[in-house]
Amino acid sequence: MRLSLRASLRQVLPRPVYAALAVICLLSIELTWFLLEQFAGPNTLADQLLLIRDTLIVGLLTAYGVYRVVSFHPLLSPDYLRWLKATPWKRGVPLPIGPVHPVVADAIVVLAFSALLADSRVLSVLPVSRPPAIAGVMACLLAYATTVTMMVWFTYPRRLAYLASFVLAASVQVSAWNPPAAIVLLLAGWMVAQVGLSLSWEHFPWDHTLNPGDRIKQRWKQMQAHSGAVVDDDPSPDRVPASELGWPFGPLSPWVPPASLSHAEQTLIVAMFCWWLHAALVHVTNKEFLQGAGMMFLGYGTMILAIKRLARYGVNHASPLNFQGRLLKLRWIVPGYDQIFVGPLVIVFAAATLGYFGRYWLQIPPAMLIPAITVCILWVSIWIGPSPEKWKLTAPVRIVHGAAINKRNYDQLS
Amino acid sequence: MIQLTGITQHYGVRPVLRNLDVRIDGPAVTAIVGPNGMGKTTLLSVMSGVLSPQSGTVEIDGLIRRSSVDAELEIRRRVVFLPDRPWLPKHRTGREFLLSVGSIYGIEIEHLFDHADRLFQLFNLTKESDWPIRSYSNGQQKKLALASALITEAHTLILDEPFGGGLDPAGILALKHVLRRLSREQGYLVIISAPAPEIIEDLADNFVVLREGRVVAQESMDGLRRLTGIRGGLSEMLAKLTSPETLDNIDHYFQGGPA
Repeated sequence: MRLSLRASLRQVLPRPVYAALAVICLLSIELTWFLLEQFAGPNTLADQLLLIRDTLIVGLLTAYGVYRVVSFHPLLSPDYLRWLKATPWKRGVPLPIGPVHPVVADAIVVLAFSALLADSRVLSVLPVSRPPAIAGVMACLLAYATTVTMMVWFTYPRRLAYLASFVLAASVQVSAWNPPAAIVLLLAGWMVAQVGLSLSWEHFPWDHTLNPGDRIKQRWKQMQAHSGAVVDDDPSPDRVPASELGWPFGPLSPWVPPASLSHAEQTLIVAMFCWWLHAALVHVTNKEFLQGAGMMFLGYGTMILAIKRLARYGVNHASPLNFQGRLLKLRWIVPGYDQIFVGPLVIVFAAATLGYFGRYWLQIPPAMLIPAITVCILWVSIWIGPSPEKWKLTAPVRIVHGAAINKRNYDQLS
Repeated sequence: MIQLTGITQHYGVRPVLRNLDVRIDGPAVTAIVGPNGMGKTTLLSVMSGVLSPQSGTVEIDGLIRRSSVDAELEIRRRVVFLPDRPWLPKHRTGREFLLSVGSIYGIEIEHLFDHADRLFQLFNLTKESDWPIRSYSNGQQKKLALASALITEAHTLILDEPFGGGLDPAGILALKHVLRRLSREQGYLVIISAPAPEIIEDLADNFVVLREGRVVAQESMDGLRRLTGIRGGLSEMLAKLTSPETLDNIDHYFQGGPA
């Protein structure tokens, strides 16, 4: 039993150098705090040191939660994944380099570090309280469950990933005023993520459902098969992506990569992102700061979104009639081309209008208003058509090859 | 078959093509000829989908350009356009470039390897095939660009000034023969533009003569002879069709006294 636990610890613990670094950091802080307390009595610096130590412990536990997934999930290690695919490994058999699911060794690590938060010291000067010992456990569990949820999203079943993400964000939100409910939600979210992880092994080696890049490769294989070609989709340095073939084969390519995510899925992801944003913002106690930062975030964010959208369409594809031509020919609007301006204008208008009415008329608190406006403008950006692919192939445009090309990578014939 | 109907194209307010109707049938080598600035490149750009004309339609093998996503992609698979000044990825080798271009046209990979080798041999680039493109000379880059158009195996080739850009006599000869045989033996439709008529005189089956954005003649060599009443070379016939004042200007120059 002891041997097995030791082996398990050796398997899941980070490299000794990282563990030693963490211990040295903690010991240095402890020693400094001890000296300050001994020779200077109760003081602000000692309190701050104690808070830094607590934050460091919570941070280390959070990092450990992420590490346990990132280091052991084959999806994030291409060599490991390639090797595992070549073996008869299947769900139910232990993963060769270590488990992704929690083991007893994890509990020992987490409890040991959390116990450091449970000492009886109090802050003598600063008017705040130290985090409870459970905060470390919660932080670790949240980090672990969130990372697992991401892996489940990439490897399916995605519905469980969305559900877990929603519940985990809810636990973050509720923790601001109801910690017991937050713990219950966190445990529920963790369990959903765990079920998702368990089911995701069924889909191994995730060839057809892995990620957008692989979906594109899948589509590429289908196209080659359709044209009677031998399939060779192995990503290798001898294949130049279609987008880097220069002029004219880049802009006039007869092959267009498919959209990596459906509109419905993008909509759901945006909703999830804003739900997390809201869950995080409810913890900001300084409302004035939140108001100012929120306005800045929305203002710059909206402008960036509008410009990015415009660039996505307009780069390499200019109006068939230039500005002077439009003026002199009295064709101020070229409908087929100018539809690309509708999306950015609606985004800016929506952000400004919702911001004004939400803030001054409805007086919605910033922690709700900022995510609500964000979700609205991102949804508008997703749903307002036409898609760049369709527009580039069907709209009246003038393909201007040199505009978007990184000239350092190309030679133009003279 | 390429059918252009009522094409009008202007940059800003300067009209380049004016209500132009042209139908080019294959298999054949058709040359677009005319003086500088008369719209040869613009016409090729409209055919190849680089420019959307202000009015008119471009129909290729029964499919209307830009009418739908599927139609446009199908046209792009059937038609390859090579501009006079393409951009080549200079850090890649010539072979990587050719294989990648062939791939996006869905060519079988084994066939692609073989075709690339034959193209390198055709243009005397075998030794340089695995060198980065940046190490190629101007003429070699031109050859590689031409090879990239040929490797697509698209049956309609639109080549803007394929004989320019530092192509050496061996390259010119190879290209001429390849284009002729592709057209006659494999049913390709080849459309080329050339400022110097003597290069294409013995290559093209048909000539589309442009003057001030309009088609003034679309004939074979014999047809042009009949139309102009000139028995000489293509240069004289074109001079008569596109700039009849040129010959008068020469006479006028020498009437003034010794040069």
